[in-house]
Amino acid sequence: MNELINSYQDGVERCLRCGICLSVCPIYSEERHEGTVARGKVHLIRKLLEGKLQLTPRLRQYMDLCLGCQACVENCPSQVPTDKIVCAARAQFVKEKGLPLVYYLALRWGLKNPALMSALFTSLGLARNMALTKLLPQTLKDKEEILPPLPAQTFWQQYKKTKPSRRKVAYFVGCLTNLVYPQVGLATLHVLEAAGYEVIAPQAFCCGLPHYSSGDLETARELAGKNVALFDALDVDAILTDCGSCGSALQEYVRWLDNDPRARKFSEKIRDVSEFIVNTAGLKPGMRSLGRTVTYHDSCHLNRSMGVVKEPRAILRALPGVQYEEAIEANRCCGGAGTFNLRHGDLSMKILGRKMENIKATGADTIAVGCPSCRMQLSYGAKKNNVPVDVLHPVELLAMTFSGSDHE
Amino acid sequence: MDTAKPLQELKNLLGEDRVLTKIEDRACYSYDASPYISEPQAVLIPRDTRDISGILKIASKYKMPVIPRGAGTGLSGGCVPVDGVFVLDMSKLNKIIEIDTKNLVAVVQAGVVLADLHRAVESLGLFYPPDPQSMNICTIGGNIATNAGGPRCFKYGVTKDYVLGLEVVLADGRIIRTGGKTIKNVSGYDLTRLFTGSEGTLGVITEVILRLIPLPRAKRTALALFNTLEDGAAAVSGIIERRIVPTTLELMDQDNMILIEKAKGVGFPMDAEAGILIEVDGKPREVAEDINLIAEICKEFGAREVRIAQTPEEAAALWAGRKASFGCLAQSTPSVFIEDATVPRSQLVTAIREFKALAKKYNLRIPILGHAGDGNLHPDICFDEKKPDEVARVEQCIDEMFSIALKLGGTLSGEHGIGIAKRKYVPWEFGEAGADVLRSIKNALDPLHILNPGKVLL
Ligand SMILES: Cc1cc2nc3c(=O)[nH]c(=O)nc-3n(C[C@H](O)[C@H](O)[C@H](O)COP(=O)(O)OP(=O)(O)OC[C@H]3O[C@@H](n4cnc5c(N)ncnc54)[C@H](O)[C@@H]3O)c2cc1C
Repeated sequence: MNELINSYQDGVERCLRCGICLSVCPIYSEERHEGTVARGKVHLIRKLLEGKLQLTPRLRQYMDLCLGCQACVENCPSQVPTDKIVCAARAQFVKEKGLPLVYYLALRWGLKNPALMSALFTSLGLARNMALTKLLPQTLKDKEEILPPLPAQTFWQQYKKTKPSRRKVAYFVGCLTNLVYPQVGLATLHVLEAAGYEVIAPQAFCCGLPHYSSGDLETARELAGKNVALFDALDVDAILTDCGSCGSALQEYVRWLDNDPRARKFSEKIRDVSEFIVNTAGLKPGMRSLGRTVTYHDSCHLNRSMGVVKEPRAILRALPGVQYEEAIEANRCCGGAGTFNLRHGDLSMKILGRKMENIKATGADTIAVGCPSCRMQLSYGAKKNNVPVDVLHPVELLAMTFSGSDHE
Repeated sequence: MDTAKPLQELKNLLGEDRVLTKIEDRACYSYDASPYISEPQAVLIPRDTRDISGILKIASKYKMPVIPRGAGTGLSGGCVPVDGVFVLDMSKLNKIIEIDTKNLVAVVQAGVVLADLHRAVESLGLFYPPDPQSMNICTIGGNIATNAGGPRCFKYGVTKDYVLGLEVVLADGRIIRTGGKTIKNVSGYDLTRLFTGSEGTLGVITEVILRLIPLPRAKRTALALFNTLEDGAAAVSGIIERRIVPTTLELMDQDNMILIEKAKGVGFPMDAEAGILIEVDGKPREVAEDINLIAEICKEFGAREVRIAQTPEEAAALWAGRKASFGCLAQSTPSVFIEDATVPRSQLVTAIREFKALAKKYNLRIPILGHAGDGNLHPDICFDEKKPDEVARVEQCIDEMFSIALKLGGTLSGEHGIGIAKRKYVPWEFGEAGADVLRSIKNALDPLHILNPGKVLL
């Protein structure tokens, strides 16, 4: 019983219930209910392991109410790994109670199958063009609106190989970069090529994070295995991502795949593109002045999982014609959290509202962010809250400073 | 007790979703920050004073016990349920109603988080000094109910020194107001003070009028390290005798500094018996003079080293060690009792030496932090709740610790309150007659014993 959670016994017992997590949890600050914050969740799991609770719908509800932002973990005096405990509990639920149907379809069918995903997105684009989405009921329409306008072509449809070079890096193209923000992928290629790199980009599978955080460990592992195999043969020192969420998952493969040596090698090579540019490739912005006031939003995965904090800011500060303004609570979750915004609309919007207030106070006309999932949420927040800002990846801004002749 | 009927009435009053009875919800309100755990019958979530009044009327009708709970950061089990009580979750009454800059008062609901109040008043150049180190979490209601203190309280006083008036729901559901916006008020008995520190046993605090003062414009920070506790204590007395009143005189003992240094490497020496973090606030010129004078005095009394912060960043670096101490403690032990025995300042060193001897006698680890200005000590008794023999030793040790504190002219609790943890010692401090007076007050205000029963008094 509870075989997927048992290994966290020590972790849950370490909690002293001091409550420091209450002060940093974005959900608790809206809901003010102990079941929504680490202290309560950890106590519930402790009772579960003691055999005094069962895997009930109520328990599942509380395990579900977590953004995975890890603010609690970062601030926990006893270093209780609540994010991992919650994911383990979700996995236990999936194992014993199964996946709800929508999840099943989305995770096991849609996200696992790149061609199908592409087709689905294309049909959504078509439906929008024909104004068919107007026919959706209001709640669904709100949700559909979170997805920004879709590009005419995916990343892979626009992909061109970079020039051969002695210096090579691999590039992991995530689902959202491919389907929603291909311009980020193109900017990543552009910037790396300008720095003298040949970029090797295999057509990767979904990173598996949506599966892992929904408790579908089986599919997460399967996808991890496929991606490890895909990159294993490449003769590169680094595998780059421009998505903090993908990156954090890829770095976890070694744990998901039980310390498999190939997975370890893979995970150790994973680096964020901004961090790579600043610390390895060398940051050389172009001459074109951007004339923008920029603020930066920390993606929780990029910040707390991958530890990338300074480098994107260093890029932004170095760009010509950019005035950088740090926002208060820049590292507070935007409430997007993968599909959290679709599942808990009202709550997510409250968390987003606070984020947008903080951003508005900077006076910035541009938000830079290193994760497409946050970007969708922030773009939606800008629209809903009438904050006139562009939301862009630091690498896109960097690419914009190259005037045509700088590198070609 | 048959709870079906009161539960139905509560649901009629509050709505189904504000009366939580599922085991998962009850478990989430079974604890505070102390080691005690016990589940309530139900969790009630009132929206306003009227709801609370209604709840207490139903509670009186059915003799149903109720516990007000703020944020559950208490360290003595104050809001931990006993015998099937109903928990009253105050955390949603969290509006700052008014900051009155003409009268320098704030009017707030009891569930307001202390740090939110700090931010709101400081943005107007005002200051609410009490600073329990749980300030980012704990509620004003909880602060008043425990009469919370903090590092700044040596200079500025504790919570009770800032409470001007209260709105309280009595055990029978009637609502009263005590005090008001005036600093001076001697009408009748001082009910405001009576409810302050009453730990939820006399009434439910719903609204609060707090005194504010102007925000000091500058502060300076220094860290002084001493080879012996005696030197450190003598320096503290020396500072105060020169008529300097620092805001903060935080004492770390050797065990603490070793713990922190090993985990964080903040540059504490491992062989010093005392580190004292000193902060002064006031006008920029004054604080600069004071901090230098303090450094001289410390050296006069044998400080081996004094570090004065020249910038806010350096000050933060000096604080980093002290701030890390709770985390380092937490990582070093499965369970802990954070005690707050307090003695007159002149007895500080004797108390620390005797507590250290207890640690040896009972084979326990007891690092000590203290607010050296006011003699408030935090002996942190580390143990493993899974080891019954260790738990037994902890109990004996705490018994002796309190008799030492009382023998030295001190008190059981400087700031955390009696709760469950210290109730058996109350007659030790008050004597039988004193305990009788406490009992009479309790009986007068809560004749049915439905408000936080079993707390403070046995
Ligand atoms: C990390 C940490 C650091 C701390 N540092 C300090 C410190 O420096 N100084 C200090 O004094 N304390 C400190 N504490 C202890 C604790 O934070 C204080 O006792 C605080 O005042 C409790 O507030 P709360 O809202 O959490 O109250 P709770 O724990 O919820 O309740 C405490 C008591 O107050 C009663 N109560 C709560 N709200 C009301 C109300 N509205 N009406 C009537 N009764 C009510 C409860 O019944 C209970 O008896 C610390 C605790 C932690 C975990």
